[in-house]
Amino acid sequence: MLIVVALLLSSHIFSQAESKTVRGIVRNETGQPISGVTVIEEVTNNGTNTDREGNFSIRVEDSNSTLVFSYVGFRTQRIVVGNQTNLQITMELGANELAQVVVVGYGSQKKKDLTSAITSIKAEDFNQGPIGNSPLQLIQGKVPGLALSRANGGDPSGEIQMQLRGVSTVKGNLSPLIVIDGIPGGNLSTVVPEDIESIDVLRDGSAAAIYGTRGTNGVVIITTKKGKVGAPSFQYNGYGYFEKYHNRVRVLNGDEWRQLKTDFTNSDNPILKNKAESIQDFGGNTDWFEAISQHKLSQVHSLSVSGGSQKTNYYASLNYRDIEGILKRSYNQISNYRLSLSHLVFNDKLRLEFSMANTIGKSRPSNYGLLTQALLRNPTLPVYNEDGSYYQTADLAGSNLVSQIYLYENDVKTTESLINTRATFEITNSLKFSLMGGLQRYNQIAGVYYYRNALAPVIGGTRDLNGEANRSAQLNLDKTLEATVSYDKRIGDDHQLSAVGGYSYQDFTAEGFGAGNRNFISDAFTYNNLNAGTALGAGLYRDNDIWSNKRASKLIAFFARAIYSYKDRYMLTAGFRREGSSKFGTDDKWGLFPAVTAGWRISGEKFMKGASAISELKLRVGYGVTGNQGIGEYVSLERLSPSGMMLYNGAWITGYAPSSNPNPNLRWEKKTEKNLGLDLGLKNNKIIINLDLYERITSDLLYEYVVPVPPNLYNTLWTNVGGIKNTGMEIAVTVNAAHTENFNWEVNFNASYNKNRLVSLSNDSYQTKYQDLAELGAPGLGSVYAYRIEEGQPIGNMYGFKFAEFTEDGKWQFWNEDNSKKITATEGQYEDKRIIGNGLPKYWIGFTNNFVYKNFDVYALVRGAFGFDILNVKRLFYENRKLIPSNILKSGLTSPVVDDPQMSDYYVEKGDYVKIDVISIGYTIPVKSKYLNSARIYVSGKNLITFTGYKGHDPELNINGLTPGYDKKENSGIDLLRDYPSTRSFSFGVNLKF
Amino acid sequence: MNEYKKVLIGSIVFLAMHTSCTKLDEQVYSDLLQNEFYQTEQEIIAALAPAYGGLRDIESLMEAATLATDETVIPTRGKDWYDGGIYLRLHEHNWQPQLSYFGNIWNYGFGRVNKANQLLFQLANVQDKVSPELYSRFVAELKLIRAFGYYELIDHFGNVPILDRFDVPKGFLPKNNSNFEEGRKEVFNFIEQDILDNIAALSDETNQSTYGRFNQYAAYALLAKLYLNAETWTGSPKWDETIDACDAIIGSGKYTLESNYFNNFLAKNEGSKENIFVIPYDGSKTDWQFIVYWTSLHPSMKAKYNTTNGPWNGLCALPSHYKSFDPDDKRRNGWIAGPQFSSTGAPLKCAYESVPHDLNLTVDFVNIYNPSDPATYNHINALEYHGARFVKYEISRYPSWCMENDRVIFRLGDVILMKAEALMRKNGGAATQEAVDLVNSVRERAFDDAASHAYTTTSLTLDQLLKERAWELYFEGVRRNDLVRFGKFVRGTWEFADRSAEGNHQNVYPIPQSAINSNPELIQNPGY
Repeated sequence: MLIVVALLLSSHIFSQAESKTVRGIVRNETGQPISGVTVIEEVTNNGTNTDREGNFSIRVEDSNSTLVFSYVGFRTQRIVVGNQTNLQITMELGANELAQVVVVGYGSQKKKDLTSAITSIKAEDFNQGPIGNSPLQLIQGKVPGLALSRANGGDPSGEIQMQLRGVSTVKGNLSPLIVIDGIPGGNLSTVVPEDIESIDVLRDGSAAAIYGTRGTNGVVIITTKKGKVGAPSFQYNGYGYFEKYHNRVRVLNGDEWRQLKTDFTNSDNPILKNKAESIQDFGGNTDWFEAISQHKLSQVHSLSVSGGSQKTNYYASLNYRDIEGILKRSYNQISNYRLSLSHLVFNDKLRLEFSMANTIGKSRPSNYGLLTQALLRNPTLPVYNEDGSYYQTADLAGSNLVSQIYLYENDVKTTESLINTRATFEITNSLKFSLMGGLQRYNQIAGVYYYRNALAPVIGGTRDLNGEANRSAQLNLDKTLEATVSYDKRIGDDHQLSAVGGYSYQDFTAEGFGAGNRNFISDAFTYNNLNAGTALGAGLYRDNDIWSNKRASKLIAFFARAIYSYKDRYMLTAGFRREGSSKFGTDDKWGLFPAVTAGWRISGEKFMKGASAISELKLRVGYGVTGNQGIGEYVSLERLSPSGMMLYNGAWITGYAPSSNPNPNLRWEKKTEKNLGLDLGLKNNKIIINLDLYERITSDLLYEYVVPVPPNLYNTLWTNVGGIKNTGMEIAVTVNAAHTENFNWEVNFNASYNKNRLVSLSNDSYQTKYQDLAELGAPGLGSVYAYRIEEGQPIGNMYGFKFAEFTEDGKWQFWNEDNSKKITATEGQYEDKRIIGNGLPKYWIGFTNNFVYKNFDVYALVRGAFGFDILNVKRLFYENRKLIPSNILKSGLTSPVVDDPQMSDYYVEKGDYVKIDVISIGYTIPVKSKYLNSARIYVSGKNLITFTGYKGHDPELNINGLTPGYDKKENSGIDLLRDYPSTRSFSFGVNLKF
Repeated sequence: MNEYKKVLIGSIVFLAMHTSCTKLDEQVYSDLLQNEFYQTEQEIIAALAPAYGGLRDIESLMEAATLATDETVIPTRGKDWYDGGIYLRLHEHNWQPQLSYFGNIWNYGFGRVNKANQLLFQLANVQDKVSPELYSRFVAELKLIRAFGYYELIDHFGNVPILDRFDVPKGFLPKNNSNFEEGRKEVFNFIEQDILDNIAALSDETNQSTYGRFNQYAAYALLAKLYLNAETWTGSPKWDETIDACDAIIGSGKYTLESNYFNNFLAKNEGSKENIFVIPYDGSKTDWQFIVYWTSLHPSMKAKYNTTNGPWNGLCALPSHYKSFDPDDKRRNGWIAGPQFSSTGAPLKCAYESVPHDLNLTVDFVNIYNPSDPATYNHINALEYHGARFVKYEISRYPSWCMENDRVIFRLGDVILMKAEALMRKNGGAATQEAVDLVNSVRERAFDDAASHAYTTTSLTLDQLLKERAWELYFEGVRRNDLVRFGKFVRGTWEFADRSAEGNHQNVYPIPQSAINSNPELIQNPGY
């Protein structure tokens, strides 16, 4: 790769020249000269303004110099001087907004021509500060209707949750389709944030329909940076950051624990009095959260070069990220390189493009279970004995937490590549043919080892205490082939027609295997010599000690779309995608996803000429159908898989049974969406308002439905059943509040509202009124469910008793069905439970401010969510003195409850929050150097302040699926409340261009 | 221009070749397609295996059959075992159709029925792939598995839909009879017919080839169970038929009572001459489906038995059950109480609220470490050391979660007691000498001094027989059935709850809400 880059660079090294004077005139689109336009030469920062007649004159270093023309209300332009001495510049209206090119999937459109709801965010508008791994954090809080939640807190390997326009599917894919440089279904982990040029979000169904079966949750199109014509330009971006716990869970410390013993001894409550002696004092005072935490510097470095000639250009980058987790030894280290080349051949008729990104990762995932154990573990237990060895007590919650970190290895190594080649052949000026081939490859090898002296907890834990090792490997390969023909022509002055048609083929395979063994003579092997373990040889086989599997699926599609505009005022788009997925039943594989949109640019009409305050006014309507196929492979087939063993003639044989109830009629889930939009530009587009109303109705929901046994073999069946309706409103406001030579201030505000209803859970064959979800589990709440989905109700309803009061000795009293009588939990019957909250936020807001004053810049992001409840599961279980001798929340000391945990509205809290998420302050150092074009330094803070009434540690939670707002990551079935703490980070960074 | 054409034509040809491939058939790799299976005898045997394998999922049923009775309780201990009150509700007889146990039992019964129906349907299509002898034996065994499933269903729910085939029309929903009593009779007749029709086709061997499977004697044992309950379920007694079915087993001479009661429950209990039908488990080959040691033992007792896994401290004997045993009755040793020690003799410690103290399992629910404690302890509020624990099945060092003892479903001891009961009931409830001899033959191995503990025709009453059945058969899945048949299940007077307001309808469980939710054709049992 380096050789290629070097060759490309060499062609630019010898084009030096003398300085010269350049003159010119700047006009608007109608030919009127504009005065006061700022003209600045990049590199030197020499500048001037145009005069009354729009004229300017400036001395530049050489013909490679770039002039930057900017003026409020118009799009900034960059012009390479070249041989010209007299420049004719036409500024396009648009305040860098409406003239922007927006990627719409299989093509692009100018923002002013859009007829559906699409948000396009360019690199310069991305969120600032440390981004971590997920490129989506670049646009968090910026896209109306796109809810992004850092439900995994600051986990360096954690992913960000996405939800567009509410919950519109229950078991299908929940996240928008990611398209990377044209490859649908790209993995976000193949792209580093610094290499992204723009992110376009297709919000409404009419826009997403061109992506067919995967467009239901919207489409996020990521375009990476490409080479730019000109001399090589280098960029370095680097930053480092520290993380701290943000609003940590507060449990009893050692002294409070000792005090509790005294208090309990003197208590009048017999339960507490009896517990006094269970409060053991081991003499220490350990903050278990701190004992397992680290506060290390994470760092990110990225270096890129881009340049090229008219024929050939290139972009290459190197990226290194070392993200340290908040848990000791957890980290995620990623090296990524990317090369993209573009070359014109055959008289510039054929453009060949090639890009390759490779990611090499190494990580140690965080063990979320430790965080629960840190909550529960006796705070008087020391970490170490006096001789430095671990102070071990295998108790009910687990062994010494620090030992669990150091007597355990978990290494995950990945390589991931995304290769994309494209040939675009210009048959005529308006007709193009393009062929694209893509390959995405993910490879992982992992190793896990528990040391021989690692203690298993008293309850649970199958580990033999003689070392346990596991290895696993995974290879996923996604192949894409797409051919498109596009036509683009302006006929006369009034007609603009563009059309695209194509074929798409995608093939996905995933295969993996793994093995494990136990009973090692020494820890020296860790997981590197499975054969040295003696357990398997001795016949102590456990299920899945050895496994392998492979699965594959295919998607094939034909698509077409035509965009017609008349007099730039009336726009009509119509298109479809006919797509087939191998996952569905034999006769139901293919679906048709049509879309049609229309736009009326009212501001272009004569009668609007007088309304000078309104610079842009456009009305949009759209209708589109999208699908969802995000289920597992093979569910429609009659398959057999190993199903338990049978003792047959004295030997155990493996049985084979149907894997599931087959459904040969399984078909795609369908969503129809109507969108009504209004774009308004005021005061030369200094203020731009986009308003969208939508209604999305999902039918034939893919669902793992509960079916009767008999006649079915098993009690669940993948089928199409029921429907969901989402209605909502989104508004985005961009205000260019100030734009002078020294001061620039841009404000972005967006808000969205979503209302959700599960219309039905029934179809011709099956009827269901409701289903209970999210078993709370141990301790004490097995077979108690926290959520219920019910026909006619919104998704996310919490279900349980209505709290009345506590008895004097701390026992629960709930209201009965008609609130006429107070009852105990045991008296309570099913009818006394009710809907007690909803965890799905109804309102989301995002608010960004961008100030530039001389060389200083300030960026601030505020975002929030409203209109939802959270089930505070930590309080439910651990704000209860009956849980002693597990440690409890400090708030448990004053909580009246001394009783078994119960699911009731007592623990349902308002989740509304506003976060001052990012504040970043930068300073651009004035440099005049041959080697350095610009330099900027910045400091930044993330997740800074949260305003909320929620008592738990962070109201930003799971928003997807059927149990949103559940402050409990996963129910492991044993007793752990697993979640990664939310963290606050502070960073320092440098951007250099040379 | 020629070059462009070449590129263009090349691309189009390539694409055309490719578009021909619009096939979307799924390629399977690590799964088997059903239509490619059932080709060899080995494959057909492998397909039969899950019909038996599915029998292992009986733990939940076994728990419910004892927790609702005078034998056992899972009390709420500290923060554990409340679980939405499911154990309390079983114990108090305060249940609703939503109780998860009912769904589990329903799924178990119909799971077996359905699995058998599916294989009967599939095997009929591939008859030619196996020998006729093997085929007819498989069919008979599958029908017995179906009958076993229906036996559990009639026992727990009474009137359930009868389904004898797998190939039902799409959208078909099974119905139960709108008249409960009639419906239950139909189910009874269906089970009876299935057993009678197929018993001759079963093997009469009692060796490896029938171990863990339905042979003729296992079928007779099931038939005897059915007939013993005929009066309860249909109103018409079948005492002679019960006796005949028992005699078919006893008279065969193929089974003898083990001299040591506990031989039937060893970790390696394959050698028992008494067990007629067992569900085999294996410490590493079967999933964690037999876990009563987990449910019952205190976690610290991991060090006593050197088990890989730490137990959960739940199920224990009701004090009245434990105390009802004669102290000399060796069978009581299936419950363990008193101070506990590790395998090396060190005293075991409590682990929860009584943590500083030694672990001393008490039969009664009292606070032994603080006798002045004013709190009352019961099923809602128990201490960690309360209750004798279940060790009737030998506890060995299981390599994974599952016990490796084979679970006893039918054994000669039970068959002999059933025959004695039928003789007594035929005789107006009074014991005959034959009945006394039968009961004594089972009882004598429990005592060193058997003679002084033997029954006579006067001391062996039906009430006494019911007690004897508890001592002999505790935690073998029969207690609820026995109490119902003796009319002592509803309004039972054993400790920890007042059940006096209970209605007779609670002699059967309600049809689970989960089943009604997914099949609106089902009619709930009367009274619920």
